[in-house]
Amino acid sequence: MALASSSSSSTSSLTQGSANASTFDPSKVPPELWREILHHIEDPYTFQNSRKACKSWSDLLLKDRVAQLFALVLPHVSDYLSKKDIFNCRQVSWRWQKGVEDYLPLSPTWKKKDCRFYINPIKERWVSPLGNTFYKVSHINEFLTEMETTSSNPFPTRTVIFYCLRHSGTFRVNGIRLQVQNIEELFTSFISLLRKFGSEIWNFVYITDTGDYEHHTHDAWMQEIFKLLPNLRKLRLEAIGEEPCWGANVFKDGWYWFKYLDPIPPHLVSLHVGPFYSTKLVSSILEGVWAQLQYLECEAKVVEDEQYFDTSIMLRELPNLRHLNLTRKDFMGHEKELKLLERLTRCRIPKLEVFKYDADQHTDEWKIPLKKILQVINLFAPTLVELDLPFGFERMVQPQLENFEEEEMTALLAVSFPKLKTLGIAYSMVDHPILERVLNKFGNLEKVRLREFQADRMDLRDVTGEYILTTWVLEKFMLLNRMISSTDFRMVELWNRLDQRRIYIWRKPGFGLLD
Amino acid sequence: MALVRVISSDGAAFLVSQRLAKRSGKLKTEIETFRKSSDNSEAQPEIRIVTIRAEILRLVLQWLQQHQNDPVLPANQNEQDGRGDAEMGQSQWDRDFLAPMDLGIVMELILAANHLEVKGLLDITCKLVESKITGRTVDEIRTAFKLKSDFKGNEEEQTRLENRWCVEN
Repeated sequence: MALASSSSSSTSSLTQGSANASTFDPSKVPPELWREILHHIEDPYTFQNSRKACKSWSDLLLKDRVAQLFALVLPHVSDYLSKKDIFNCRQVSWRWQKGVEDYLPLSPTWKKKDCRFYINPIKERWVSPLGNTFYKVSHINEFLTEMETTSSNPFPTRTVIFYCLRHSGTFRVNGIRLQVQNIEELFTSFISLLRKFGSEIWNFVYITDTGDYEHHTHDAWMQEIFKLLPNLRKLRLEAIGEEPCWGANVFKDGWYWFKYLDPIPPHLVSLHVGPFYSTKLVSSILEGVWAQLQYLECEAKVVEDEQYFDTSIMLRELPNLRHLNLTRKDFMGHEKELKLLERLTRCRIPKLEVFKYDADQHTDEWKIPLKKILQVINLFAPTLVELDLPFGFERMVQPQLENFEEEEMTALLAVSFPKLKTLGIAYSMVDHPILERVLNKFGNLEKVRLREFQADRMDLRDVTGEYILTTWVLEKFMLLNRMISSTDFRMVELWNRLDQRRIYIWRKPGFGLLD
Repeated sequence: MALVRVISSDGAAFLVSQRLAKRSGKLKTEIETFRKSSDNSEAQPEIRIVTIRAEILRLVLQWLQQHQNDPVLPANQNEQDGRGDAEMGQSQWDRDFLAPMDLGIVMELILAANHLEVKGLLDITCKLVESKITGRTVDEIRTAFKLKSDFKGNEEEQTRLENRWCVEN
């Protein structure tokens, strides 16, 4: 079949004159000057719109295309790129830098645990660069008409972040600021947006710090929202606030209706709940999507329930789950900790590849030995490729410091993770006698990930805010380097970014310490 | 053969078979919407794509035509890590198709493939852009994309210092 094309003459140009009755005649402005003016466009959406204005502008802007379009292309390409490559892109040009900084916080794979991330006014620019402000609800209708007329999608990254915050001034949806009077208006406005664009959304992030509504009304709104998101892939729910238990209060009744949604979002594969956590919320969603879920992350500052997955039905299998990330900061006793892990042993997770278990490092209970934890994990996740126990690992082995018995080590060695390639442990574990033996135990390891305590963070900044390596840190490096030299590990890179620092050690001969 | 007229943002019209057009998720939806709203079942749908210019639309249709007999990739394939199966699905024809293209065109193709929901094309174009970035130094990326540093003052040095700590995960 041949493609037949016929070019229309509908395109305008500067020379055809668009000055109307004004005395200003744009055709008299030299192209070089237009080029200079248009070169200053900062927003890639404005750039795209300007290209459509007329053929002359389109031609003039052609030169800036690669610089400008990067911000729009990045969401599609970023999954193929390592963080190092993405950060290299920051250095290419200031537009690329802005593109990276605008996009990364919206990326579902770019995880942030600190809830302040979302409400820090300094970070406002991180939201979608649309920046529309609606001073009246009626303005939303005008906006919708405009977007519809131009077939534009206000959520080009297919991500919508819906903020329902009492303390941030105004309500907003990505860069769209909704100047509404109350929560009812907020939801009504948001739902009207979704009626037009819901099918375009793949990632839905709901962030709230308020429980000041009737729960049945709120549930009705949420049900309506999910019906308007037929292509939803990733769901992230965050309750933020200063008080402990706040998240549990916001979502205290769970979403029992979720499993009755018709249809349950058929493509939903990723669920992230936190940092304040409600057992019932996760459980009620799991009852609907247990068979299709591939990624599950639960963050908890406080959990009063004993079990994470306290579903009304007995959840026996998560057949497609590949990545499980649990963070707990709430343990008042070791019994609960073990109960959570033992609950998982009753659930078959045949495809689990990555398990991150960030237990509470502040608890005084040091009664569960590491070998017990590993044995339990081994029961439900023998197929692990990556195991991350950054804080809990250290706490669990502490009791062994004084009375380390060979028997414990023997039990540990009986644990088998044949596919394990990455192990994450606490930074301060470096000088612990058990570490060397653990490293030797997992002979197929390719990477060891270390993470340090929060309290150490200031150590890496000097008075000017520059990052420095303290003697203490260097000593750890040296010690670790000696310890693992026999296993062919070499440290190749340090990684540090504001609130997270990691140090990676690769099995990669040829690199020396601090290369 | 049932046809559909697809019109680009700059007014160029492309007459293609509906079977071919329906390999694009967006065009398929538009055709079905037209069918439901039209009294005349024989009427030829006309779809205006206001976000894609003729040069790019022609390339998308050309790619669709070449791949018209391929199985349609599910939109949520490899959803967890977001990657498509670009390498698996890339043929010699695809490589020849993309080889002479300026990276600006490739970027426009990514946006067009995303808008028109053509997953196969989206995957291979993303992979191409990725290959021009992965493992390269900043200068090499600039060369590949024909870009010049436009940082002011010590901005570039400042960014470089920040990046020192932002390396491979």
